[in-house]
Amino acid sequence: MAVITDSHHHFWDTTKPDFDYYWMTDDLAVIRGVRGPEQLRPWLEAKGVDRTVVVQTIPSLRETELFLETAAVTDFVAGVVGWVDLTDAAVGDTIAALKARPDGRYLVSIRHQVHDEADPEWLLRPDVKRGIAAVGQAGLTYDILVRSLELPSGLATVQAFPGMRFVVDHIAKPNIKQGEIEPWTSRMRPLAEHPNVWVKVSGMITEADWEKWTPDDLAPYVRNLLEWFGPHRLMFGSDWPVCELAGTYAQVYDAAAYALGDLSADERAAVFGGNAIEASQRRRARRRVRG
Amino acid sequence: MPVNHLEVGPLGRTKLQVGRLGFGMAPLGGLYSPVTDEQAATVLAHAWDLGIRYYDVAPLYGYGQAEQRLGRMLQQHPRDEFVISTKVGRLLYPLAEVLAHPELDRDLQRLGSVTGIGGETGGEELNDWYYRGVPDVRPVYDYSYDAIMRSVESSLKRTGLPRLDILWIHDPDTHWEQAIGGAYPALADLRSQGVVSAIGAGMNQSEMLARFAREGDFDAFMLAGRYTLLDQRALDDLLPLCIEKGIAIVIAGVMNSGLLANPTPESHFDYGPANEAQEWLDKALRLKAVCERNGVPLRAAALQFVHAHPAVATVVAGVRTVAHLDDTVENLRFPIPDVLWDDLRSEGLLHKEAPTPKLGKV
Repeated sequence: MAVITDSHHHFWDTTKPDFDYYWMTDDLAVIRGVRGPEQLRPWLEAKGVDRTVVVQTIPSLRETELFLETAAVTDFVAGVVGWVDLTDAAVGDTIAALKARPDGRYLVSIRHQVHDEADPEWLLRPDVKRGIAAVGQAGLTYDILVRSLELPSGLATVQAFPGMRFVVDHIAKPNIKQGEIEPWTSRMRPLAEHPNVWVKVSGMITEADWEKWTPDDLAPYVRNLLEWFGPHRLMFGSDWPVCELAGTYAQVYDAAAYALGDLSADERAAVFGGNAIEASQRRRARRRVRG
Repeated sequence: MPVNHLEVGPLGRTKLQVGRLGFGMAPLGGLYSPVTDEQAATVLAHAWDLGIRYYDVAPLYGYGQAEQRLGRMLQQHPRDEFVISTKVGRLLYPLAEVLAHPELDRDLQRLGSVTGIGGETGGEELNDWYYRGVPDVRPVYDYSYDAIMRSVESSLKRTGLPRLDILWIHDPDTHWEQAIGGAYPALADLRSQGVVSAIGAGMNQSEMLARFAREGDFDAFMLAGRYTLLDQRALDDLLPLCIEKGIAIVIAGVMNSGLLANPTPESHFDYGPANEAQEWLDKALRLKAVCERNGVPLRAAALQFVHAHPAVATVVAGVRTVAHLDDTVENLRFPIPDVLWDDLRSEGLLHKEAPTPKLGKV
C-alpha cells in the first residue's frame, strides 16, 4: 500500500518557557498547550497516515535543532522544515552545521515566516536572496510562506533560482472566508509555469470561516490548483495543530480528500505521499522543457 | 481507545445485547425545561437513524410523558431490534389525589412550593423543580410487591410495547427495606417468568447498589454520576463487586449533570447548581485544563474514560437536541492520546484503581 505522508504539521509545548510563540495571540488560545508526537499519534492512526514532516513555527534555530532531535526519536517523523537566519552572511555555515549533526539528515527544507515581515518584498532583499541561494546550494528545498500580498516576490524568487526546489505553503493563504478569487488567482497561477514549484494543500480551513466552513468552500481552490499544477505537484498537509482552530485533524484530511475530487489511485497516492518525497529530494529539479 | 457507538456486546450474563451508547430519556421528559412531542420525536428518530438501539426511561421522567414519547418511536420498529429499560418504585397519581392524601409517600420535591421544597418563586406553586411541562400527575413512592406489578403494567400501557427488557428499582435511597423485601422479589418473579430479561436498580449512589449486589441476585445496575471522569467513588465498593459477580454496569450521568460537558458555576452538578459544589467545579476545571493542554475535548475524555472499565456495558446519554447527540457520537470517536491519561493520573485527578483507555484504531 502507498505510504501516506502528512507534509506539514507543527509541534509545540507552550507550557514550557523555552520559546516565544509570538503569533499565538489570545484569540488562538485554544491551540495552546502540549502538541507533541504523542498528541499527534492518535490522529495519524485514525487516518492511516504513516509519516510526517514537522515544520518550524518561530524564527528560532534552537527550535529547528529540537525538531531534528524529535525526528530522530519519533518513528513517524520523516523530515523537518527548519528555520535559519537567511539574512545572516554566515547562513551557509549554519546550514552546514545543521546538516552535519547526527540527526541532520532529517532536514529537508528551510522556511521563514515571510508574511509576518513588514516588507512584502522581504524575499527580494539582497541578503535574503543570498540566504536562499545558500539553502539551494545545500541541496535543501525552500518553503515559501506567503499570502497573495507577498506572492509576487515569491514568483520572482522562483524565477531567480530555477535550479532550486520550492514549496508554496498553504496554497498561499487565499482569504477563503471572503471567497477571494483575485488577486490570488492571477498571482498563484504563474507559479505553475515553473516545474520546480510544488504546493502544499494545507492550511485552508483556517483561512475559511472557522465556525461554518464546509469542504465545498475549499474545493474551488483545489480544483484550480489541480488544473494549474496537476496532481503531481500538490501535497497534502494537515497544518495540525493550527487546524484545531477550525476543525479536527480528521476533518482536515477528509476535506482535502473531498476537495481533490476524482483522482486516479496513482494521483491520489502522489498527493497523499509521493509528491512530498519528490519535492524534498536532493537533486536538481528538471528544467521545464519549453515546446 | 476511540469508542464506536455501534459496537455491541452482552449486558453481563443476560441474553441482551447493548451498544456502547444508549439513549437516556430524562431530558426528553422535560428535565429542567419543557420539551414538545415534536422535538422529542425528532431527536428520537435521529437516535434510531444513528443506530442507537438501547433506550432507558422511567415513569418519573416527565411523569409518564417520556415513556409515551419513547413508545411512539419504538412502536414503529420490530420489537426484537431494540432493548428498553424502565424503572419501578414510583407510581403516578392524579395531582388532586396526591394533594388530598398527605399520608401518601409523596416525592416531596416533585410537588414544588406546595411543600416549601424546591419550586420557583411566584404563583406557580405546583411546579416541579425538575420536570417542566408535565401533565397533572405526580409520583408517589411505592416499592411494595403489588406496586411494582402495577408500575410495570402502567409502563407497558404508556409505551404501548408488548414487552420490556430491563427493570431498575428507581432511587430507593430511603426505602431499602421495602426495596429489598418487596420490589426485589417482584422483579425476580418477573424475570423467572420470562416477562423481563434483566433486573437491577438505578441510583445516584454506589453504596446501596453494592448492598443490592451482596444481598440479591441482580443482572445489572444503572449507576448515575458515581463513576465518571469527575467522581470515581464506585471503584471503592460497587465496581469490584460487579466484576466478581458478573454484574453489568450501565453508566448514566456521565457528564455529572453537565458539569463535565461545560464546567462553569452555571452548570448543574448532581441535578443541582454546580456553585453549591465548589470542590467538584474546581476539579472539573482542573480536568478541563489537562484535556485542553493535550488538545482533547473534556467531553471526549469523559465519555471514553468510563468505557475502559470492564464492568461497564454501555453508557446512556441524556440529550435534548440532535446536535447534542451528534456531538456525543463524535466525542466517543475522538482519538485521545494515551499521554492524556498519564497526565490526569500524575496530577492526582484519577482514582488509583481506575482503568484508562488505550489507544487503538477505530
